[in-house]
Amino acid sequence: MSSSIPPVLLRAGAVVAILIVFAAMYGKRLFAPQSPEFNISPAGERPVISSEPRYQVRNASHGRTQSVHSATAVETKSGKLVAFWYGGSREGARDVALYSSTFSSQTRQWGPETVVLTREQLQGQLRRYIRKLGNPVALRDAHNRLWLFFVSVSLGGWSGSSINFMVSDDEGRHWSPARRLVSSPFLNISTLVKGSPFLYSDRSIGLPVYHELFGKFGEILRLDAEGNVLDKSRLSRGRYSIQPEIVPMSARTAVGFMRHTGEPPFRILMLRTEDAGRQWSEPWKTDLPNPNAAVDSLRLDNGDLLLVFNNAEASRDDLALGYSRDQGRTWKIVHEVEPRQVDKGQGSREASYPWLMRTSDGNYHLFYTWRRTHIRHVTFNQAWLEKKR
Amino acid sequence: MLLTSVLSLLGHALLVAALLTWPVRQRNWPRGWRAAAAGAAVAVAFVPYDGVPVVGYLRGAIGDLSITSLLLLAASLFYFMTGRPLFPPHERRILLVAVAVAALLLYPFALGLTYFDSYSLGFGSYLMITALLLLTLVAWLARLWLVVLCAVAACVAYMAGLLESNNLWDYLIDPLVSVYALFVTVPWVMAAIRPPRAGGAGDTC
Repeated sequence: MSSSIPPVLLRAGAVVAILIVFAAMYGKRLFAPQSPEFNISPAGERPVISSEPRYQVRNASHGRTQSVHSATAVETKSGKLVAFWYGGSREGARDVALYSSTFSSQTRQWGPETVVLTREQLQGQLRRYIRKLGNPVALRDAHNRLWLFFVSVSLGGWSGSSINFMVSDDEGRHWSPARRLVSSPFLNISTLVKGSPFLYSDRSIGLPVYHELFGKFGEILRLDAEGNVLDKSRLSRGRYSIQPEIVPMSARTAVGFMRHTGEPPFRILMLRTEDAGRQWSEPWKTDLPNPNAAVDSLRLDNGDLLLVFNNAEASRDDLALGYSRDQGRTWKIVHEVEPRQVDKGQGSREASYPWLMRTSDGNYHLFYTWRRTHIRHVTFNQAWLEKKR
Repeated sequence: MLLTSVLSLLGHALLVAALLTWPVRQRNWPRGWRAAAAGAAVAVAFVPYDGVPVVGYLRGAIGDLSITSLLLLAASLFYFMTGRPLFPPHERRILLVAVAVAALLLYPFALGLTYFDSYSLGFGSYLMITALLLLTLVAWLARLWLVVLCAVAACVAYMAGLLESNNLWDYLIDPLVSVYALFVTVPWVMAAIRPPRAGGAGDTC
């Protein structure tokens, strides 16, 4: 007796299997989260801590490593500030690790620098070779967990970067093992982070990213609560725009700022969406200069915008605070955070990679790389801003 | 260890084994020797250097391999060990043509030259699922079982999240199999479109 299955039955079985698998694929798509709007948390009443203008400058890092760069920060549930950055003997060195420090609201001082993640630890967690670590960006999600996205490279320079993330349920004391985000079909390389992540109305996360291998352009990755990429949308094309910073203005409107890497005149780029990011305008050059450097922006409760940027086309020596009352059409420079230095004889004067945020007590916090030796922390309050604007 | 890491590292071990056994493919070795050679090659893939196995370096450099790559590598090693092809050569050839076409549809748009991004279709768009369903049904009608197997296995792996990626494209193709497919497909296409030479091979002046 032959035990072989008749070919016609095999073919029928195959088509049934195909139809079942694709029905499941359509089902997965059908129940996937749909395109949401931006999450604009209501301003509410901010506590007035002080009606006196206050502006203070500190160092968040204390020189544990020779070189530091690319700070990010987040507020804990208890109102403390936690800053993260990468540091080591130099940018791109094998000893570069991610560091963290916490600002005590009682002593008004930054605590000791602690290692969050080393290259070797990431190598073990991701089960692959890691050559160096780079930019981190932090976020508090809709479930009150902290996320730390950061760049790593296995092969080549920064254009060979990939993005990873860790999640903390206890305000940054412990972190989950790192996971890799896959954002490009080219060996998953050439995707970096710098701009602030934001939230959508369905609690998904918007992560501004950029590529710089063949093209230099920006995108937004949308992630679910587990860190799975749900979708991505392109912000620009070509080879002239990186490091997007997205500022939601309403449920459907947002403006974006990008670092300009193209032809002169060197200007900060802006873009805009009116449909919650389904389509973005082509980036346009603003009147503000940009020396191929990152910028950061923040929407105020009244809808005005703050922008931190290097106010020069040629160098990152200075850092300015701009104020716009018309969603970025015009700007007034309200303060020179780092005035331009005339003396050039004392090494790097770089003031770069700003990270601007506001805490629940109403204070504004600006972090930036100061001469690559320290992470500087500037605090100012609403009274100071009112006086300046 | 995460299942994604297991599958990825095993895939790279298959790649190492396929590469290391390539030079001895034409040797008339007995089956036992061939199996031992393949096993040794897989073992080499897990030898650590500076605390990281060889497959860890490969994974760092090129990421996860697609399901198509894994099936082709497994078929290649099966052929090496048994001397019998797992799939008819014409099916493999048609699969590589499909991979080459898919690569041409995917990679140029991922460079950021345009606002259109074919890679974003892989995050579960109806267009991509429907196109893949039609391709699979055509392959089923034409009895191209290797194409059907790759498409269905990629979909199952995608739904189960067996790779790090959440994008269907990454389950279907990867740069490695795409370069190989383009490398072998272009000469076939050139030969197919080249007009026949005047006169037969045996003609003399």
